Amino acid sequence: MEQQIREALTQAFAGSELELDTAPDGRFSGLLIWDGFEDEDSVDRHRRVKQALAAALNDEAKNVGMLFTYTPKEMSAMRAD
Amino acid sequence: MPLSTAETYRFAAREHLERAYSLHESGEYFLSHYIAGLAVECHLRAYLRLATGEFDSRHDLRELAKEADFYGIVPRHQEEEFHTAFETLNLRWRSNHRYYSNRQFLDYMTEIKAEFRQSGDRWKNISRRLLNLAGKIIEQGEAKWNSKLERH
Repeated sequence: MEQQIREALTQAFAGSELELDTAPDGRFSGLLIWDGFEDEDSVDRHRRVKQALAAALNDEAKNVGMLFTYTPKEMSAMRAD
Repeated sequence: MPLSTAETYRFAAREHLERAYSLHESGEYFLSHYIAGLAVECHLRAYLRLATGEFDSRHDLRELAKEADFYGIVPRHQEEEFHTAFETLNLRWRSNHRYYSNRQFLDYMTEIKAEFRQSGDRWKNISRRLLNLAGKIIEQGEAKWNSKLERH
């Protein structure tokens, strides 16, 4: 399942960076960093991710839980001291 | 030094959130923002104590929430709203902001485009937004606290 999720997301979000973990409830959570999220708010980003997962995985998309969506610029600001 | 328990962390979270509201009311927006985020960190630490009994010295809210299985408390029908709130708070609040000057803090907020297009007092809007997000997240945690407690 993890491989399918990875493929779905890296195809839909070309050039993105993806970290996936398994949450205690068995679903996948993680971090998706993509410059195409620039100028989109959190709601739009999540909608976009949901649509990509549903299109590629159908019902299996429910195996994805909390996926944080940030841009490379945001990640770099967050990681700065 | 007295040991922090799940309940003391939870109590501290409530105190900090109340303090953040007071600071906001008195125009201390930077501090209000910081203390509201700290309240969320305390709340996550309460959950982490329940889940693992351990102390995690990192201040990364995303990692703390994951370790504490905090995402698991959210009912499926509220997940979308919770995810966006948590994601936004995690972007806007960083523990190292306590070392920042006002200028650095505003530069950070500009970099992440927080309250960029909104009219009015930007400081006040930034503070209010974080208070709302923190309140929502803690409220969610509070709603599930007793059932979580029973399982441990």
